[in-house]
Amino acid sequence: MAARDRSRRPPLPRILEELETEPVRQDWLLLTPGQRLVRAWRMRRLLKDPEALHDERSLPRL
Amino acid sequence: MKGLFRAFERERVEYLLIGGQAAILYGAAHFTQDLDLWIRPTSRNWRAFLSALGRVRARVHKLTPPASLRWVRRGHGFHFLIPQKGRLPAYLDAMGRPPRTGPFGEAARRSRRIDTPWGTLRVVSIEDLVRLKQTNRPGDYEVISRLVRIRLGELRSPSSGQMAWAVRNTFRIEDLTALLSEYGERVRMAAADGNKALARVIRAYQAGEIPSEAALGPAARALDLRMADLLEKGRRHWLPKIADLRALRAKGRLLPAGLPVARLLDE
Repeated sequence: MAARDRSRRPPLPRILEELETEPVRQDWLLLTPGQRLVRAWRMRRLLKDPEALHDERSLPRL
Repeated sequence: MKGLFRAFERERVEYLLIGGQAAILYGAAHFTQDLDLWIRPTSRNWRAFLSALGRVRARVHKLTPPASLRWVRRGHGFHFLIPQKGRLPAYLDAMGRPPRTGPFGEAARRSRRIDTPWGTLRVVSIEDLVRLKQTNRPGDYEVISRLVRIRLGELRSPSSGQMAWAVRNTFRIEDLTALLSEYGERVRMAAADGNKALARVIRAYQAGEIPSEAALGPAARALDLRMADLLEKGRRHWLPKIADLRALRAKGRLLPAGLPVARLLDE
């Protein structure tokens, strides 16, 4: 298996980057946990390359 | 994903939801691209977990060691791909011994059951999630700050022990000052863990004063150092696992990416 090349990995789409770092909004906390789960999961559709994103964040760099 | 958790129920898989999805359920995160699970590391349970994955036609993803209990108990991550009809596949990362945690049984006792459209999920407690989030990724420390605020918001009257936990899991000076201005009178000096700069700021809030810039600067540096220390510990945790994976790769013993999980059960 070839070592992963970080330079080729697309960054997180800007809208999701902002979502990750922005403070938690009060309206988000007012949703039920289930509603938050569904909305957050739906946002995955915005990802152009979910595999690259997963691998970048979750796999160790060998 | 409903199918996956239904399969867990059928196979009586003992699991805890950890990571970003758990943070989302608690309201401390907005987005995550995968599913992280803590699987009780026993022979029966690990087999039940693989059976459940087989039921939903999961496949092995990359950099996954042999699916035996030996590698589970060494703290490795196991990576799977769950197909979803008409949707992007889901990435599932599972561990039997995640870092910085105690035994599964104790975490399970502290866990919560949360109703969702995927079923009633078992989710690690906020306190355990905070420990799990002390990783080598700086972004996780923002999630920790939010988890702490959410936990304190749940408690009507946080004890001094809970406040010490909150202070120990605060990594930015603005979060510390916000915490102290709201709960200052409940924070004991022990929360400073002997750090003089932090003690000075806590003392100022206890006296009803706003700490000076001269006091806040060193306290901010103390928080930076604390976070840097945890980031480094988080990085070091993975070094022996990376060495294992390199050795497995060299011997051709990593599981092949794309292998149906059902096939692992035949071995």
